[in-house]
Amino acid sequence: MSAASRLRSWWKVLLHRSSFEHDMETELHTHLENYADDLMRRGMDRESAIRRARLELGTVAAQKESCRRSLGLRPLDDFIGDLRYVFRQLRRAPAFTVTVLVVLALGIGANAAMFSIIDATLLRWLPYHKPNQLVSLYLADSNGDPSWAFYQEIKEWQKQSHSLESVAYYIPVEGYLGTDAGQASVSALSVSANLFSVLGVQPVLGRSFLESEQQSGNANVIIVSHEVWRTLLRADQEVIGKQVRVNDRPYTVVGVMPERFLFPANDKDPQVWIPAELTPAHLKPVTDFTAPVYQAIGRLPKGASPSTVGAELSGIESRLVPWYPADIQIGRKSSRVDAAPYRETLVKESRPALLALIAVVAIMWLIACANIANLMLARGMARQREIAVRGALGASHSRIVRQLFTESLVLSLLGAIAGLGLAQLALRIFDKVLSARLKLPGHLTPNAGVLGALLILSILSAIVFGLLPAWLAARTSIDDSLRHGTAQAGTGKRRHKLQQAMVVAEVGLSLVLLIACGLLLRTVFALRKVPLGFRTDHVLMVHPELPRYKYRNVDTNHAIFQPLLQRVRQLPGAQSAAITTLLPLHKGFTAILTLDVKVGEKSSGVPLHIDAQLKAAGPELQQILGFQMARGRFFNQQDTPDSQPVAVVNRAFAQRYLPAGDVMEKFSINLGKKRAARIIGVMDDFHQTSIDQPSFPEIDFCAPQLLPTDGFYQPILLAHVELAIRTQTDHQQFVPALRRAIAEINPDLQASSIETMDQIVEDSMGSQLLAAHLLELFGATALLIALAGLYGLLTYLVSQRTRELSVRLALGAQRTHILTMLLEQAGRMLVAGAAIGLTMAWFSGRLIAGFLYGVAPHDPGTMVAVTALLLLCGVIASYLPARTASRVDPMEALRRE
Amino acid sequence: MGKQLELLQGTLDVLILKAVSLGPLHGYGVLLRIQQISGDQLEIQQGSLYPALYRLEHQGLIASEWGESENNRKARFYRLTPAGRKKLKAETDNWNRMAQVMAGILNREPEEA
Repeated sequence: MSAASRLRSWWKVLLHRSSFEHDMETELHTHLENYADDLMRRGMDRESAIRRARLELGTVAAQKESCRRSLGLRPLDDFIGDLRYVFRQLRRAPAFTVTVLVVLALGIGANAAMFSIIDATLLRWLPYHKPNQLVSLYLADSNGDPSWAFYQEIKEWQKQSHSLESVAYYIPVEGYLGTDAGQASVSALSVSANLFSVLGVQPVLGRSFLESEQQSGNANVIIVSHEVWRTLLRADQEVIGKQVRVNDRPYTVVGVMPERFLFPANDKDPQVWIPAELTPAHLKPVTDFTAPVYQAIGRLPKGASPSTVGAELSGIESRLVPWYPADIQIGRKSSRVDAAPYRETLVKESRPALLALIAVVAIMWLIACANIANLMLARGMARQREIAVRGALGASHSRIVRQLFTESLVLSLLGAIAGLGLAQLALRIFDKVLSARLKLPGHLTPNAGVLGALLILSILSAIVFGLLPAWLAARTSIDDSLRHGTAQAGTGKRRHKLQQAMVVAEVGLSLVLLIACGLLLRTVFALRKVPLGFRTDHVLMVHPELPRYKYRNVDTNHAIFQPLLQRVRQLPGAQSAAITTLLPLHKGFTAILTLDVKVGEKSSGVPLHIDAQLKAAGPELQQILGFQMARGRFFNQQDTPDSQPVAVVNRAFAQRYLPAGDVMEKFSINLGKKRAARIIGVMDDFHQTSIDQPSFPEIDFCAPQLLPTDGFYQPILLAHVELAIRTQTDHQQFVPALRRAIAEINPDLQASSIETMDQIVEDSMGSQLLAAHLLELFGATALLIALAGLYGLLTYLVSQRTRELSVRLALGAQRTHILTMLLEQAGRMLVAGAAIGLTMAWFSGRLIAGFLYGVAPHDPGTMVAVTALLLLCGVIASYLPARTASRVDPMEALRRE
Repeated sequence: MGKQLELLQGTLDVLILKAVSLGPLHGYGVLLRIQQISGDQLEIQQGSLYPALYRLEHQGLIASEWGESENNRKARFYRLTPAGRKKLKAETDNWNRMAQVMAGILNREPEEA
């Protein structure tokens, strides 16, 4: 009952402390006077009446103190007193305060930024019921690369699995949503009817899909996201039952999902969902690769592990494989079914980088704490006398520890605030890069959870760097410190050991970071030196966004893109333009052909299993990208739809499949009825998917020659098209003209995106570049902090030993001898630190191996160079104080004492 | 007037509650009221009065406001809050039962044992 009133009364006292004190005094005085009046009435004279009253009540000051105590204000008053004292002390030592705050702000700021990133990625809030039970189910090939599963496969998993609670499936489809407000591009998903119940989320308006709505002819219903409802449907409460158009077909709205609901969760566009209609193709057995495929998501029962599910489904899958046609069996035999927590699949690519960065910021924080602990130790020593005086005046041991701990707490909280500012700044600067790289839906800002973590972290910091020095300082015998007076007392031997150990640890930890940084820099360097095999300057890539439903039966290659290319070539500043279906260094869509062919004469030919990337390209592509032919020629203007179909392969293809070099004579690829493409050339290799991957065998067809009736038209020209443009002028001038031309020739193409090839190359190195930049930052900071620690400690030790050194000098010691002695001491710490750092770097090499290219995780060159750099910096940092010490004037130093 | 009794440990709080239950009083008034009701048989240490008042107010059992004392001095007047009234009743019942039990035990004659 009284907790609330207690809080209220404390609050009142805290807010009006001075009036509280004043009231208390008035009240006590009134009492004294009333009592004295009564006593005088009984015949006592005024003076003795007042004395008597004072005597019985006790002194006003003591009364006030007891009243305060009965309110439980004593600890609070102590704390406020401590705070005042701390601020006074900190103001008196500005250099110390600023150093500590800067170091802490760096250490805590890096962590705060990292917490925010982790909170938004690894620990991300997902708008589903118990999201940790959701798993993505997919086929993984021997490299672990995922692919989607056939509808029939998913059905079998669903039927035969005992370890899964439920399975749903979905696939993105083209989405142009037509409402009264007009047409808008949305992210549309074709989903199983049970998707929303598997996710455990129901619409806020209307209902979710019915099983029967997946039946052919019933699937014209749609559920819209809250955002679509709010913007495109004008938040219409009566929207259920109304008609909208998706890709120009009518659909009836049956549901609106709750606010913030998103599925898939890494999608930025407004979403709509329609039932996956079961066509005859779904129901017949799988005969070829055109069978419908989906992504599957399942819910685990409570406590089940994803790996058991994966093992079970892989078992089911292995019994299914024999039923597939031979060409599908090939790939399926080397695949397994993987179940990965849905949350993890959202950040799959960046997860290792994030985990590595967590380790990095944790190390930085440790370095910062070790450094500050050292500073505090040094400071504690300098303040020994002051602490001893307080002890002598009656402050208890615990009281002194508490006071010193308050000081570290204040420092770390101030540091945390500064760190939060730094983190905020860093996140704002890197926001764009990070959001793009990590595929985040929103902006990165520290939220309540992050602030909480930060608070805990700063208290933890205070404990780590504050408590030990405080305890040591308070322990020192009062008697000793007072008697020996100044800081010259020789009591700090053990403390020196501790301080040296901390410098050694700092040096070691920094070395680990610096070596990682060095390895990543080598990686970036190696990546930059890899010959790309093509030119990147003055090349623009346009990705045309064409509403496909409008052009379902149109030969877009000839009807849309060829005229567009014609128009683009005429733009001022344009040199050349060509169509291509593969964007170099882009991890997007690729069509991989898997087939068995016979090479050479039918009689002698050996069946050959081929895996190759397919591409269609215009003849101008060679001029635009500037790649070289190893043999033969590339396409030219004479390769028209009416001439003999031709193809070129790359060197990797020729080497893998046709080592005898008879590729151009003996190999042809059937395009369709009586049309076979002859190989007319071999291109030099270039990196197709990323710089750190070798070239993959590739077959190119001449785009102008391909007809919609050709077998390869569908998987390549319909799947992904890019327009490559070589310009003569600056991109800034050219891009607006290009956009206008695109919109002019076909308004449906307005949403097309334009990128420069240079940008694409940079992006393909993205994860390494980002990691390298961040590590450069962290490594440099760690080095600076560690050096500051070393410098600070030596300066301090030298100042402590001034008298000793003076005496030595006075007794005839050589100045150079003193210099060497001090440098030796520093050298021992540096070497010990370097040894520890090298050992740790050696064992942690495995952690960053995944980010490296062209350099081994234990690369001796990098390790030696970085260690040498660190030692050099360390020697410089220690030389300065050592030189100062060796120049001490013994007379003056001794006199000053 | 006989020799004054020393206050039993922990009874000051309930006496204060009782005193202010009869009407708002300032600190000195509480002292006088208790002495008056007890027929001057209780001796109260003045020094423990104010800490007790602050404690009770802190616990929300009494509330105070400023006013003028009978001789025109600025004084803080205490009154019972509903929570305090409840507490007073509980303490009174408690005390009566205790007194009964104590009396029963202490009045027992040897042969009855």
